[in-house]
Amino acid sequence: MRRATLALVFAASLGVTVLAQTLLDRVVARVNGTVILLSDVRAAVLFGLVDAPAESEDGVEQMVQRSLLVEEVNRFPPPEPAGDAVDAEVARLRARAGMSNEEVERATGLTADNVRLLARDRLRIQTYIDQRFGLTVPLTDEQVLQYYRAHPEEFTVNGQLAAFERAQGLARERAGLEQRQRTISQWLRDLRARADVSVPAR
Amino acid sequence: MTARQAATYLVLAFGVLAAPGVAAQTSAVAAAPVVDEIRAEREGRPVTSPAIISLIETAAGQPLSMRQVRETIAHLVNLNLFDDVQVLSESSGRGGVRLIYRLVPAHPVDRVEFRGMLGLSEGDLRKAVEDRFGDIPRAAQIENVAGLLRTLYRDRGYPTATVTGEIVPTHDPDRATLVMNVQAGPRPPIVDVQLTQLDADAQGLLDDRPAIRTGIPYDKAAVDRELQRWIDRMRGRNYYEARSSHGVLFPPDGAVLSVSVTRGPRVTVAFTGDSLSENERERLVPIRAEASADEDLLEDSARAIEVYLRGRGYRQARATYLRTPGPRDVTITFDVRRGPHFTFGTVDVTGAASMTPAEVREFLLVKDGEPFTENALGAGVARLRDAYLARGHALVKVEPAESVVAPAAGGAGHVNVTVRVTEGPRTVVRAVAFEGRMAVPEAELRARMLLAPGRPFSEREVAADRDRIDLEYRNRGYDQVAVRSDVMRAENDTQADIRYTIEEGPQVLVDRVIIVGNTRTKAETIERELLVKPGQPLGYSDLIESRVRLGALGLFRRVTIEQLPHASEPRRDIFVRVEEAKATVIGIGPGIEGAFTVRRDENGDAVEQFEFAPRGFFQIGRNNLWGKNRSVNLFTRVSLRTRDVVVGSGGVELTEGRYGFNEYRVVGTFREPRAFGSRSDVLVTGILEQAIRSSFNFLRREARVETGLRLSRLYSVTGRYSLQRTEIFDEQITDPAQKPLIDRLFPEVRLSTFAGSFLRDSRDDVLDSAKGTLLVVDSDIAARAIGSEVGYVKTYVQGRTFYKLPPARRTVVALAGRFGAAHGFPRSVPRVDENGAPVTGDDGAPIVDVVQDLPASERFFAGGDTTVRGFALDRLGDASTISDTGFPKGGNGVVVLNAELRVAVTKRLQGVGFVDAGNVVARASNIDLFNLRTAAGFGIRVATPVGPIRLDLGFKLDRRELSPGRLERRSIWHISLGQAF
Repeated sequence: MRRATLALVFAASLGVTVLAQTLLDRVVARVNGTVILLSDVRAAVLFGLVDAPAESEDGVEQMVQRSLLVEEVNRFPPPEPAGDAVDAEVARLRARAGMSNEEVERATGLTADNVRLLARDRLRIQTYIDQRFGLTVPLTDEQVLQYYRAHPEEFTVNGQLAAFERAQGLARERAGLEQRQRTISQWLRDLRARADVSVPAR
Repeated sequence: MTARQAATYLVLAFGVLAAPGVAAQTSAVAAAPVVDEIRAEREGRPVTSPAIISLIETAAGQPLSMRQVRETIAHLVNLNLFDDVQVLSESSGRGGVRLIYRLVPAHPVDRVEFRGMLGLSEGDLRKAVEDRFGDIPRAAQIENVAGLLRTLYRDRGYPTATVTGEIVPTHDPDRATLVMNVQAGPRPPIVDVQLTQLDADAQGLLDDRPAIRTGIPYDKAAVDRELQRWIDRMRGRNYYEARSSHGVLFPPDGAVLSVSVTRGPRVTVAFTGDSLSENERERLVPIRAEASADEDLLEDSARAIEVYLRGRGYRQARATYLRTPGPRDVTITFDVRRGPHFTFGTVDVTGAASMTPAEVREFLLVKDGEPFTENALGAGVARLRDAYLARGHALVKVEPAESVVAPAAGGAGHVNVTVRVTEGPRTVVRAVAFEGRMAVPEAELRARMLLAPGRPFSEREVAADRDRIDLEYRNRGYDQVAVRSDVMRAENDTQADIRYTIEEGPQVLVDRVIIVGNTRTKAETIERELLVKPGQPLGYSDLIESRVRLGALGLFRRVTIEQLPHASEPRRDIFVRVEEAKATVIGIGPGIEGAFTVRRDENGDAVEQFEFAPRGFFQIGRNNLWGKNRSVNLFTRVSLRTRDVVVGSGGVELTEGRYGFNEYRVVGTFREPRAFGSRSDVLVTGILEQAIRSSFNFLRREARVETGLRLSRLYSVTGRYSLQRTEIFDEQITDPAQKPLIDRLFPEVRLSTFAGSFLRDSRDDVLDSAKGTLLVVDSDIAARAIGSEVGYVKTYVQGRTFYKLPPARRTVVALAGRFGAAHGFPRSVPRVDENGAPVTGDDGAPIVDVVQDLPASERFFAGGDTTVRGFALDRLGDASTISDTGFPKGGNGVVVLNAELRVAVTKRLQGVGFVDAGNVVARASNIDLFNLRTAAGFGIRVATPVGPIRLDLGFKLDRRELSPGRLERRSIWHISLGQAF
């Protein structure tokens, strides 16, 4: 599936003239005045920042979310990531794309500086989320027990449901993760609801 | 967004997806094809606008660059004209590709229409929409508009109204209409009003009820108004807790209202204990004013009484209140206990080793014998602490201790205060260091710091320096910069090392500067004022300054500068939108001038007569010629007045005065801003004027070239050359012995003059200053060598200063001083007879007269509404400058001093008291500051949109005899526009 997606990305962005006309780029959304282009989504797919086809609604929606996050991070900036960390992140993105700087620019229009900014923003988003929502969520025993009861399949080994006392540690970890994700999801929905987002007709 | 989408994004936010094998697949990317042709189209039609085409970065003949495609889209969408910009490629048939930019126009809503059976007036509907959404709602707000209207219809009694909205696009230009389709439906009448008194059991039934009628349509606002009127009536009768609400149901046959009212108890406010005046009670206990007796207000009132009394030295003042319910009323009793009055006793300070006692007193500002208040003591302690902090005592403690000396029976007590200061070590900055990536050279940062090694350490200055670093980076385009300061103390807190950690973030550069809205103004005229340039860092201060400079051009009604980001790139387009002002400006206005004018009586003596003169002006100007901010302006003014009147006793005019348009002024001006690429503006002016003066009239024709340069916000200089011809006529001084020689020899004179001015202006308001100063130095030189018939040098210096006094009512002290000195260059003129033949003396030699005066039009005159106000126009002077008949001759020296106190009586009315002094003397060397004519008086100013209208009455303080037994007039009044100076 991913291979097919990439093939489409390149075919479209290189102007392959198999079809009479090929769409090179366009506006896919505006988020509080910031324009998101189709080539932004294609690049994000290429770097693994978006997990959906670039031309899909889901892909655009993920880019809208990312734009809102970057905006929020710029409003309340976390500590600047170290240069080494950004370098490492750039390397990871490039490895994910499997292309040189020149090839990335030719395919998407993003320069090496643009890619570095993508890497920087990803690290800043991560730091911001960790700072804002914490790495662990304190839970009562009752909440852990509820999770254990609601997800017995996660604590069943060889058809045998582990006793709560034995599974408590794992249940607490997973309940905390679920709680954290629920909180962040709600926060993202609120951000989206407050934002001025317009998506041009296709 | 679904939970699944959010969860997906979270995964992506925290980690890049694994992608094994991708690299192998994308080992090579084909070479980019060459662009053979570029097209831009909009709704199927080709786009040829140069403004749009110039924003396309891709070029024919070049390889296709996706980066250029992205940048082009960014530029185009930033115009806010297009919802979408699609870029397509197709085979050109020549081996390359044809690029097509398909521009999808935005259709912003520019009209709102209401269609269908409205029921309500369209004006009401439009007002409701405008109140909520502004003039024009956005298309995305269509559902909100429909919801608002549905609520409005229900509130106005249309229970079944339907409202739907649609966007109807229109073309050429691309706009859209927001159409609201309304079916109001029936508006049933009110058939029943069910009134419930919620406190009927406790308070008894109401004898006064809200008057809501049945049989009329329901209108929520009208019902609410009637209920509010009922509440106001109840509160007027001291039922402060009266409340009401209502609801409505729409059964099939009409509207049924359910109204709930609560009258509450009747409230009586009483005071016991120490007395407060009626004014104090109303102010401190605002139960009546706020029509409320809730607990919060009562608590606030008790606290306000205590604060008020303690602020007057009653440090033990207490105020409590008691709510005493009766059968149908409640009494609120405030018990006020002032306690004894306390004053400051001794104020001792200990431990303040590094300050003198005088310095300590200066900061504490509390004195023996003043009423004791905690606030005054606290403020003094805070000032003292701040002073220590500023001197580097970062750990200082300032602790006041009070020792109360109880009052003797019936007398006042006092509070002895001991302020204990623990100075701590004086901390001096040892080092200032900067960490982080340093785009700004360290030396430049250091140069901007307040704190440097050796200076006293101050937390406040550390914060100020942090802000300076922040601004410096923002001015260089680092708009995400974060600056942190850390202070490490050493050597027992006597040394401080300050470290600023700078996280620069990316530098934002200006990509394109896009200017829209300028139909007449050339883009270069706008670009010249912009400090943000393509390719340069986007500086914070540059953006602000650019906006100010564009506004100062005077060409635009509105200027906005926006930064338009490129997605995921640290570059911004700068979008400059201007709204041009009208190019042609026409002004016309009538007026009337009233002033004491000097006229001649039957004996030839000067008399002062108050005259009105109708006047009017017409002005037409054309701005922004050729789009380069050049302007041309024609100003004409004319007054209808008499030229020559002889006045008899009782003010009766004995002669016809040739009434007509005897005073006029025509001025044509051409202005070239920043002439010849310099920073200076050039003005070319032609003037034709005829004026009625006190002792002569004149006709002047003048051509003038002037250049001005604004050096800074405060300072400016101008230089000018003027060539003029002035003819004097209707002279009132006819006695040759009295008439200045130059006026006899040169009734018409040509002057060629160079002049220069220096101006420093820090006034806050040119028309009605409250603070600031004005200094103007003006010098002229005329000489025969440059074409003048007579030569002279003249200097006029004026200074004005304004102080706003502390009282809350706007009170301004205005002071002014004006000094003028002139010197004429001698010129020998052979005397001629009526036929032009030389006149010879007894020795047969031609008689030669030597003139050294200035022409009448250039001599100094004073007296009148803007100089010394006890005198009529030009009537100030001494024996050397006033003729025996009382007509002013003018002089080579003048001095005018003014002092004025301006007090705002109301928002639009100002009262003024003034003292003026001055004199006009024949020679500048005769100026004597101890021999000035003085006047005093008062006046009023009435603020109007065109400036204050002024009425002044001035009295001479030293009346003199004009001739034996004939005293000067004591008072003169003036009507004018604008302040006197």
